[in-house]
Amino acid sequence: MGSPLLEVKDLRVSFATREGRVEAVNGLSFAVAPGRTMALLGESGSGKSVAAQAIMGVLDTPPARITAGSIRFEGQELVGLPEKQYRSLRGEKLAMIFQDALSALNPVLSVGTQIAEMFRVHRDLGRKQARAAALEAMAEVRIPAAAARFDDFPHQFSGGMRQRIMIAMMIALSPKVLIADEPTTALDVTVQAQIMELLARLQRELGTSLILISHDLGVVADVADDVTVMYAGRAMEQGTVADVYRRSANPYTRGLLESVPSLQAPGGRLPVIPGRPPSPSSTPTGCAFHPRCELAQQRCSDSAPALVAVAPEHLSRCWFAEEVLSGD
Amino acid sequence: MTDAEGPVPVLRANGLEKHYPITRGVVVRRAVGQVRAVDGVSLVLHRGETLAIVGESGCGKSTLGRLLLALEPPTDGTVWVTGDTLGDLNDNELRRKRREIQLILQDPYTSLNPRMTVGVIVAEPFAIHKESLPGGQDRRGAVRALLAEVGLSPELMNRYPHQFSGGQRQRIGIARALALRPGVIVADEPVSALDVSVQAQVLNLLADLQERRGLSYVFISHDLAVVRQIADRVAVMYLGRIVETAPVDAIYDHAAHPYTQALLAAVPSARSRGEERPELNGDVPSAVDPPSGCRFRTRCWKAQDLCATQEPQLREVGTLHEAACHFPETGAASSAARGDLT
Repeated sequence: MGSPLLEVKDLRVSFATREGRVEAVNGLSFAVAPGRTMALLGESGSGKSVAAQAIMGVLDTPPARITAGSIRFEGQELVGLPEKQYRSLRGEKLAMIFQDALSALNPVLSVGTQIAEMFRVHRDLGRKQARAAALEAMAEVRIPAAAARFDDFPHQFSGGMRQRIMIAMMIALSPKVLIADEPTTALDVTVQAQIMELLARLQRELGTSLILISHDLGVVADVADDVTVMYAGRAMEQGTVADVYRRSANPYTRGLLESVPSLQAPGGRLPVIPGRPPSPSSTPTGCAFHPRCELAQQRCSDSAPALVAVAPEHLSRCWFAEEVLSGD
Repeated sequence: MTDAEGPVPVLRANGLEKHYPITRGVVVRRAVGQVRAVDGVSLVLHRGETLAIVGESGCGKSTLGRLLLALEPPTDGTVWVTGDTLGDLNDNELRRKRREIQLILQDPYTSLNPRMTVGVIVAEPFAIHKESLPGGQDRRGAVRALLAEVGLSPELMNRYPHQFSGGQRQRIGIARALALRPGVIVADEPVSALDVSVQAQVLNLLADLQERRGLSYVFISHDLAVVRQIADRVAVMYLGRIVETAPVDAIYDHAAHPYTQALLAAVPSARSRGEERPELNGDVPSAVDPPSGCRFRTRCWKAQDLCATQEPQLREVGTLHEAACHFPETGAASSAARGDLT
């Protein structure tokens, strides 16, 4: 895997609520090597987006608070980093793209101005040079007739084009790590394919590491090298996409994979995971998945299993991980 | 799906069109153009069948759904539901007709009154259609039975919508849609907002209900994997028109229309990794001023001069399989060709 560029260790994030503190991320660890793509895969409430915000240093604090753990980027500890240093890091080395580009872009500034701003602020370029650099970035993300559209406003673009503009802004400074939070969820399937293709190409060209936050098993399979399957703020399984998808050692991952309709499906009834994901305020005791798990025993509600290796670089959090793995 | 005499149609649309005027001017409004949201759609739904309407945003699939339910009058064309043409009915007759065709939405939360308990919400249809309470049951009993049928504990009757998860709210929406014992249900993206593990539960519920009650579904969706799971037949829409329609296996195994092929190829999945696939350039053009001839030609890798001048009509390319393309793939050739397209 190489030495990690970004390493998250035992991260815990909790939120202050009326019912007391609620753990949204509960001991999450993962590492991303240069140029690799790590997916955080999970359903709603799994803590994947909160984890991304914690890495970017954009958590709403309060109510959110990092209560334990470490986030190291190029060896530097980010937890507790003063906001001023974080801010320069965010433009230069860490960047994030969101599901909804419209809310991430300034509606009253032309898109060209917004991209050029990145170069003016972070690269000290003059107006003319920044404009040229922005045009280049727009061409890089394949916005047709970039020069003619430089002065258009975000609302004048389609969803797919807006996503491209946000990507142009975020890769403008060639960040080391790009976090993409459900980048294609709001897009049509043909446009989604274009955007994922674009991200993959930019990643190849720039050598950026990508952290992909997604609920979509198909997108993750298509794009990621490694995957962390999250449930109730914890990693349930971690490994290469091939290991996790083809030789899963966790009943939750298995259930998810089976319950997704596929293009090759024969029809009939889908296998289902009963129940629904727990809310962070009422996480079950022991293994958080045990109320929905068909393998659950007394032990599973009594004590929480640890994330342990079942094979090199393949981890699972389940008392019966070995059995699940060999149950192919 | 078929009775002794063959499939029984329960819903028929003929030449449906819905054009919305684009107006300019505040004092004197004048129409400067038209959005051709639905532009000549004909379809048949048979008893016990699921017909999926598939397409990207802006293709007109949701507008089509609203036309089928007579929630909006069509600009042209007719909708026929088990014996009646909706456009011929007066308000009273239409109100009664609506018992037979009901709607399920993507997020029922927006259509569930937050101040009403679930019991009251599900009982509401009985308040409007007093005559349709099942024989020998009081309203409360009928609601309990409905909730149980959709997999919700009747004990939850006195709770409010916000106390339920997304999947449970979708079950409430389904219970309400079932209250008047409709034969036809139009479901507009019913599982799109749900978590993966919950989505499978709701899809199975819809399949169970169909079997038990003999329901017919018009299932509107952008998700081709979900459609494969639930549909018997599929109609693919592009810019207000159906471009291909076929039994579900034919669509997925040998799509004839380039647009359908591109849609399928764009679906991310573990199995397609690394394969070359046809990628569409650009976005869907505006429905205000659709391209001349074939509407898909601006994004099509097969487009020829003919495509710009002549609009292709739906033509038979296989058994019950129609495509609107001048150069459709036929038979098994298409799956081989799919690998070559880039």
